[in-house]
Amino acid sequence: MADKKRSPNASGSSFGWIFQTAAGIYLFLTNIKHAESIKMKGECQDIEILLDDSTKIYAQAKASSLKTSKNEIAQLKEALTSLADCPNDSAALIYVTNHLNPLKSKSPEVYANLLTSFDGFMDDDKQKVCTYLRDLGEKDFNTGKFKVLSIKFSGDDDTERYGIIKRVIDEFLENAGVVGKGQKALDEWRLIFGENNSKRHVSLSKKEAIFPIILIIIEHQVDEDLYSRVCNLDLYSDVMEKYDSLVRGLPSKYEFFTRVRSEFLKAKELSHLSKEEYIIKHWTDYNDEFQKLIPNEQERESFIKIVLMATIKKRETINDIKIAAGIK
Amino acid sequence: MMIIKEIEFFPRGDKSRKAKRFEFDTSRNYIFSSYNGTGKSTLIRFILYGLCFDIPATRKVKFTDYVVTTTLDIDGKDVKIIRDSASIHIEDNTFVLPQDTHLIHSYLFGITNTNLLNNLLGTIYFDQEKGWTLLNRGTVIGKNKFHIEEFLQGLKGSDELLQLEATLEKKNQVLEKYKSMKAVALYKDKLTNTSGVIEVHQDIDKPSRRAELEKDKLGLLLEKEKLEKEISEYKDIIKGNESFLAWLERYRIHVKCECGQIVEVSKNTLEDYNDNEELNRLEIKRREIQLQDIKKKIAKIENEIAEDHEIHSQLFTPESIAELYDKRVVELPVETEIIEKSIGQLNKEKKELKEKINLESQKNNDWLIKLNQKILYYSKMLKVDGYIDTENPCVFTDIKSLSGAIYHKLVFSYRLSYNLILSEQMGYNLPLFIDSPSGREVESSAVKEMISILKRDFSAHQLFIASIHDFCEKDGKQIVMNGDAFEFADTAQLELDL
Repeated sequence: MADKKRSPNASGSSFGWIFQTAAGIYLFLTNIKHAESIKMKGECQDIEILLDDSTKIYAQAKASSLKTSKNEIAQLKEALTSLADCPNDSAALIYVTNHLNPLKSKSPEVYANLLTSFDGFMDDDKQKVCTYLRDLGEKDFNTGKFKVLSIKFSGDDDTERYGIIKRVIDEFLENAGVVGKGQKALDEWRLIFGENNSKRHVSLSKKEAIFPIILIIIEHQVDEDLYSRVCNLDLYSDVMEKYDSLVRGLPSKYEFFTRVRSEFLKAKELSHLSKEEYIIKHWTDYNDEFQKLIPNEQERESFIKIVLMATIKKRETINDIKIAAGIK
Repeated sequence: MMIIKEIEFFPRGDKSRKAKRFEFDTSRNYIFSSYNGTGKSTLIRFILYGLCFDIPATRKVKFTDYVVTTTLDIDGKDVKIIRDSASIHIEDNTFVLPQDTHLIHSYLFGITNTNLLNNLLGTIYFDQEKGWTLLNRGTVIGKNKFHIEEFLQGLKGSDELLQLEATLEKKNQVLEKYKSMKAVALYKDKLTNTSGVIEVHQDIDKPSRRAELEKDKLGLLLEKEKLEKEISEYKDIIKGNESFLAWLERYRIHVKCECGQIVEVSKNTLEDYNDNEELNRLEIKRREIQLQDIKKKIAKIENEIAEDHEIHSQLFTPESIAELYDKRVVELPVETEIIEKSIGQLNKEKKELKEKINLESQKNNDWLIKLNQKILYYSKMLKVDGYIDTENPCVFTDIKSLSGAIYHKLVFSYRLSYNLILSEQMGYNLPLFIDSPSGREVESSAVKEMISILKRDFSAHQLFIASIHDFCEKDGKQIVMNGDAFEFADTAQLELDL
């Protein structure tokens, strides 16, 4: 007799794994203010987010690709069965899927690309879910905590596939005053969250998830445009090439970092100077200490202005991202 | 200040044998036996070998077969050097000889000038054979040389001299290139005279995939180097920040906030400190991940290169490679006549530069004056001053026809002076190793006089004197050799002392 057990479909399961990672990023960022940490592939569910009131968001992610092509209802039932096992500390029980009509509803627009609470379901759909729960023997399932998150996640092209996730990331970064770094942040988070997927029992703290993004933002943060706001010399590329390691290193040296930060904040408070005005007015305060290292006057001026800008921007970025992420 | 406290050695790979150990006096050590062949010279050479000098094997003792541990006292601190052939371990650091010789000797002797390091052995060691024929230029032992000009350059150490030496070094490199080119040019002449047009099999003349792979590999290696440099820079930054913090915390500074609260300055209360450090650590982590990735890629390319090499080695027979080589040689723009002219010109410039360096090393060199005074002083004392140039004895010597005994005393005068002058410059007394001061033709009264000079003028130096004469000295340590010092195996491994 032929063995009916099917071996797991490699591409199907890898797609599911990718989707889980994307869903983790989405849920983490949309709950960032109250999230403390996240565990991908937790003890109970695919995604478990610990909140600052010690409750947890539990999420079950089910992806459908052309290769797996499981139907909506079968996956919904699987998710309900799994979510029913969650402990009582749950803040929400979420079924995440890339089906745009996850409940096979007559009004799919209510659910497509949205997070919808059970209370917001159409009456027919509420009834449907209750029936499934009864059939599955899950009488104690707390529907008051149940939510469905539908995310469009399909296509072979990453730009298309990650469109919704990228939008959430862009919104988070915009809150922190950062533009144009969404794609890099997405790539980094895919790696970080994906890595956590394979680590047993180790959660990813909010700081661990957020700080790598700060690095991406501050990398080459002082571009030619920012430079030309404080310097009329046409030496940006020359200085960046010649003193690359110093431009990178100085803002990381605490003595330098804290000196620039304090002096700028003082000037800002006393004379209401913007960072550009401060740099133009005070770059000469640092002239002596770099005189030996950079004998050429014009190069020195450009260099000092670049590192001052990089240091102040770095501090601003850390601050803004921490506020946007609710890190104290 | 450097003192040799003890030496221990055992044959490599045979830990069951009990190591031989010799302890030394901080002042005088007389290594004595009344007959030859007991291992006196070998013991001295073992000490120098342990100090990482390039000491050749003796007829029966091959130093590289032994693991030697030397314990030194460097400025009051015990330092162990473990030498296992070319591998050296000093305080958790591993070095490799001969590349790291200067580095190790700089650490042990506190000398950083390359010219002085090149001539160091000649100032501290009289070998029983070569040692007593070396006055100011020649062999100390094995490949170790002594050149008075280089020694004087090192003593003077002026910027101008360093620049001249750098120019000479460059000239030498160019000259080496021209010499290689000349060999190729001569071969090219031979080919064009005999073969005419050279045909090469088409497949071998085509650039292989290997060139492409090598190019990719080079790109990755550069990237790897950049990442490693950046990782090390961030590690240094973290270290710097930590020591800044430690300095701050040491004072236990407390500050009063506007709200009246008193707060101690620490890692946790310094604004932005922890964030900054976390970001620095992440900078390293990110690069380490990238580095791992690059290393994997390099390994993959290396595998491909090996495979490509295997494929091509089947295509490239020795004959076809030779054909290709001939074709390339014929295409090279090298002309024998022009190259020979250039070599001649370079040799001339090199000679002039050398003369200039020699003159510069003697000009306004107070150390040369002091050295000459010392040489005259000792040669007068040993009554051999009549045989040398009294104006500038250290550089000019023309004493080929002297008898062995006079020469022996002159060598003694010169070499002691080198040691004293270098000791004066270093600000501490260098050790001195004298093997068999009693030369064949030297009368015993002269030997006694030499010993009394050593006792008087080298009382603050650590001395090692090996001799078959018992000087009956009670003022130091007498190490009596009875022939079993190197008997680890069944057959005695000894060399014959003269």
